[in-house]
Amino acid sequence: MDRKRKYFGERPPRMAAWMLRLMLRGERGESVCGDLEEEWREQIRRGGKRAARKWFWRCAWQSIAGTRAVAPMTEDALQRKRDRGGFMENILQDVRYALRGLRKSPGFTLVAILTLAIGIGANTAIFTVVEAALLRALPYRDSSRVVHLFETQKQSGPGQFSYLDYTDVRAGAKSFENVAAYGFFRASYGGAEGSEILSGGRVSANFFPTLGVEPVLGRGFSPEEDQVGRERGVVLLTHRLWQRKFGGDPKVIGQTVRLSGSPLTIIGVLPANFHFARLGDPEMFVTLSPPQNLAGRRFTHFMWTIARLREGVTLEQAKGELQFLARQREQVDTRWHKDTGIDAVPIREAISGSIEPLLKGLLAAVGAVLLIACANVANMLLARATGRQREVGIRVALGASRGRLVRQFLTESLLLSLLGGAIGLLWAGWGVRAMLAVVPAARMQAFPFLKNLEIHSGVLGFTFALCLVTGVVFGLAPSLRASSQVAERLKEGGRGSTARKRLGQAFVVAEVALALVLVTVAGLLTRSLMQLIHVNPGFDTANLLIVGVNAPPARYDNDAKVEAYWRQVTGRIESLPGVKGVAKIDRLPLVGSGNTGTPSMVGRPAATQSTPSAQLRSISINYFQVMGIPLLTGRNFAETDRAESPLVIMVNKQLADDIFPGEELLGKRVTFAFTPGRDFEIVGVVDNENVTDLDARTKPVLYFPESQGWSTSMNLLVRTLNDPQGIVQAARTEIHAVNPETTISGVITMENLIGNSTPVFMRRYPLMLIGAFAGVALLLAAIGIYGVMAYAVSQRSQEIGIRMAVGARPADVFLLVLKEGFVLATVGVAAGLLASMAVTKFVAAFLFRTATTDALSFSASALTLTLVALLACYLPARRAAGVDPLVALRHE
Amino acid sequence: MSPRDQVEYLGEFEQLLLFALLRLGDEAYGVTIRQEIARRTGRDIAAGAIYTALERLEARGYVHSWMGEPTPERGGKRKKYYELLPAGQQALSRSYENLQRMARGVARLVTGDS
Repeated sequence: MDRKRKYFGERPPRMAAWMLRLMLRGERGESVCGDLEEEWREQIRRGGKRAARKWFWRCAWQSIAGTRAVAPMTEDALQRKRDRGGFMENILQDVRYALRGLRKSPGFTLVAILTLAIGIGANTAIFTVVEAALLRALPYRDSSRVVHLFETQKQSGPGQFSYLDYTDVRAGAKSFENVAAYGFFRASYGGAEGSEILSGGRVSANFFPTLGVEPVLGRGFSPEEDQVGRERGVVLLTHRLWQRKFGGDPKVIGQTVRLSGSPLTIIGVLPANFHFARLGDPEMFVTLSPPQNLAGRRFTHFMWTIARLREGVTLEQAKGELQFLARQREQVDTRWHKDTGIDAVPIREAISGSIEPLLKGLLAAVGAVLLIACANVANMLLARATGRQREVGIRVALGASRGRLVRQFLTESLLLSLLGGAIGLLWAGWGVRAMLAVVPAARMQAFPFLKNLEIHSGVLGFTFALCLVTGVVFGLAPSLRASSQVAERLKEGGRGSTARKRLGQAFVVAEVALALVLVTVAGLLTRSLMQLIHVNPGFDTANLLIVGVNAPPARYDNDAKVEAYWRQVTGRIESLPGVKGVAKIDRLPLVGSGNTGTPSMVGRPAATQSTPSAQLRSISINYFQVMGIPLLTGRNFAETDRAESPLVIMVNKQLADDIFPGEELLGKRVTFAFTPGRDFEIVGVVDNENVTDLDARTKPVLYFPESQGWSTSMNLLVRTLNDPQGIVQAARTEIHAVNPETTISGVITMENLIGNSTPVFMRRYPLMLIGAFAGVALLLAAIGIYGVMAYAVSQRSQEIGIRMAVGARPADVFLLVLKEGFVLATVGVAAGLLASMAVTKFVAAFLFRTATTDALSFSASALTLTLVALLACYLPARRAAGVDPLVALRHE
Repeated sequence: MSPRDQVEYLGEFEQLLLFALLRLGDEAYGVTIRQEIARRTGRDIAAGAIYTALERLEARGYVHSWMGEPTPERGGKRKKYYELLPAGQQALSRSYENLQRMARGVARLVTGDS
C-alpha cells in the first residue's frame, strides 16, 4: 500500500496529532485520530491549508479536554460525563476548584505554603549537595571500575604504598588492567607576576589512562618521562591553571615554566571538568619520578595507588587476589610486611567517603523537618475540613462519589505542595550558597565537586517528585477524613468527631517527638564540640601567630647561608614591638600526621612494621620554650648542637611510654631504617604535645634540631603579648626585607588554625547545620501546637462558657487549657526521648568524649521542648480564659 | 432509587445521535455521524463529544460498536462503527413519543406550521 499521501503535500499538524495520540488511548484514541485524519483532506479542500490546520487543532483540543457540546440533563449525567470525559478536563476542573478554595482562605494558604516551602526547600538544598558528592558521575571513564588501593596495618588506618610495593602489585595483580600511583606535589611557580605556591600532583605515567581521562590539548605523559631517578621534564596543566596563567592560549604547548627553580615543558592541558578530590584542588601534574634512594626502600610509604578492574572481574575477586599477594609478600619479607594487607575500595568511596555519614545525617534531619511541616499542614487541613462539611455534604447528596471527593482534596494538597515547593526551590538556592560559603577555603579543597553548586534539572526532578509525595503524605489523611461520614456530620451540626481530634493530637505528638530528636542531637554535638575545644594540646595556644616561610633554595645552597638567613629573619621579627619569642618547626602541630619513622635502639634488634611509628619534627632551639612545653628530664637543644657535633634528638613522654617503656632513655642512641650508619643520642624528654589531631591520642614524637638538618622551608611560631593579628603586616615586611623572593604562605593564628582544623571543623559545621534545622523544627512544632490548641479552644467555646457559668474562674480555664497542652507535649517528649535513644547511636562517630545517651543533653532538650510547648499554649489558654460565658452560650 | 440508578430518558443530543444511527445504518461511524448531524441540524460537534456520548449509550445497552478496517486516509487507523440496538430503539421511540404528546396541538405555536 502506497503510504505517501498526496494531501496537496500537507500532513495534519504533527504536534496536534502527537498530542492526541498521547492523551487518548485505546479504541477511542484510534477512532478519533482516524476520524480527524480522514476529514483533514476535506478540510483543506473546503477552506485551504491554514483553516484546515486551525480546525485540526481545535478538534484535537476539544477531544482532549472533553467537550461542552453535550448538554447533560442531571447532576448524575454531569458526573458520569466528567468521569468518563477527557482526561485533561477532570484535572483542570479539580485544579480550578482547588485554586478557588485556596483563594478564599488566604491566611491558611499562606501559612501552609510557607511551612511546606521550609520543609521542601531544606530537602532540596541538602539533596543538591548529596547529588554532587555521592550521586553524580565522576569525570572518569566507567568510574565504577576504578578502585583505590590501600595498605592496611594492624594498628593504623589505611596507608600509602612504597614504590616497590606499588610495582609488585602492578606486576602481580591479574585483576587489574592498569595500576597507577600518585602523591602530593607542591612547588613555587615562578611566573612574571612573582612567585606563589601551587599545589598539584605527581603521578605515574599511566595515571590518566587508568582513570580514562584524556587531555583536551596536547598529550599525556609517556612512560619514558616517568623513570626512577630521572629529573622531571614535563608538566600537565589543569584547565583552571591554563585559563588563569595563560589565558587559555592554545599555543601554550611546548612552553617552559619554572617550578621551584626547575624548568618543565608544558605538554598538555586537562579537561575542564576533571577533578581528583584525593589531591584536593591540584593545579598541575608532574611525573612521579621517584628519587633513587626512596624508590629502593620498602619501608618508605609515600604514594597512593589506584587501579582499573579488568573486564569481567568483580571487586570481591580483586580484593581476594590482593589479600593473597599480601600474604605472599609477608612470607618473603617479614620485617616490613608482617601483619600487613592490601585492600581496595571503589574510587567514589575514597573520594566522598569522608562526608558520606555527615550527608546522610543531614538528609535524615531535613527529612524530619519535612515530616514536621507535613504534620502542621495536615492539622491545618483537618481544621479546615470541618469548616467545609456543608459544602461536602451537598456534593455527596448530589451524587459525588467518595473517590471523587478524595481526589478533589488531594488535588488541593498537591497544589499546596507544588506552590510550596516552588518557593522552597528559591530558598534552597540561597541556602546551598550560604551553606558552602561558611566553609573555609582550605576545607573545600577536599571537595572540588562542591564548588559552584547550582540547582540543575536533576534537582528539579527530585523537588517535583518530593512535592508529589509530600502532598500525598499530608493530604491523604485529611482528605479521607473530610470525605467520610459526611451524612453523620451533617446531622451533628459540624462540630467534629473524637476521631478527628485524636488524629490531630497524634500529629502534634509526632511533631514534638521529631523536634525533640533533632534538638537532642544538636545538644550532643554541642557538648562534643565543647569537650573538644577544651582539650589541652600540650602547649599554650593563645597569642600565637603562624607564618609559613619558603626561602628560594637556589639562593641558600649551603648550611651556613641557610643558618644566616633564619637568624636574620627570626632576629628581625623578635625585635618587633609586642613579640615575646619566635620559634620554628617544619610541620605544624594539629594539622594531621607528618613524616613518621620507627626508631630502633642501637645494639638491640631492629624495629619492624609492628613497632609503633613515631612522628618526626625538626625544630628550632627555643621551640619548647616559646610553645610552653615543659622539659621533663635531660636538656634542651643548644647552640652547641651543630652539624659537625654529635647528632642529638629529643623525645616526648609518649614515645618513652609506647616504644621504650620503663627504660632510662637519656644517653641512649637510636637509629632509623632511613639513616643507615647514623645514630642519634637522646638528650632530653619533654612533656606531650598533640602533633597530629586535637581529637586523637597523643603520638610518640622525635624532635630533631634544625641545626643538624637545615631547611629553607619552615613555619614560624611567633608568640605575642597581645593580638597576634596586629603584627602580621610588620612580620611580612621584615621577612621580605631579608629576601623579597621569599614565599610566605599560611599566615594564621594558632587559635584559628585549631578552629579550622579537621576535627574541630567536622564537629562545628554539622552542629551549625543541625542546630539550624533543630531551630526550624522547634519553631514549626511550636506553631503546630499553637494551631491545634487555638483551634480546639475556638471549637469548645460553648463548653468553656458552661464551665464558667457554673463557677469556674478564668484562671481555672487558663490552667485547664494549659494542662491539656502540657499533657500533649509530655507524651510527645516521652516518645521523642525513646526515639532519641535509638537514633543517637548513629551519630556516635561525630561525638568526642560524649556518650550517645548523655544525660545533660537529653534533659536539656526535654526541658526545652516542654517550655516551648507551654509557651505555644499560652495565647490560646489566655483566649480561653477571656471567653464571655454569655456570648459563648448564645453561640450555638 | 438513588440518583445514580436508571435514567431512562435521553437528552437532546443523544436523540440526535440515535437518529443519525438509524439514518446511516451500516455506515455509522465518527465521521459520517458528525457530518450527518452537521448537515441536518447545523450543529458542529467535536469527535470527542460524539464518542463520549456514544460510549455512555453503549454502557446502557442502547447501542453497540465494532471496529472496522483501517484505511490509508485514516493513517492506518481503524474505524469504530456504531449500531442501534432494540433497547436503544425503544428509548428513542419513547423520547420521540413523549415529545410528540407534549407538542400535540401546540406545535404550530413554536414552528409556525399548522
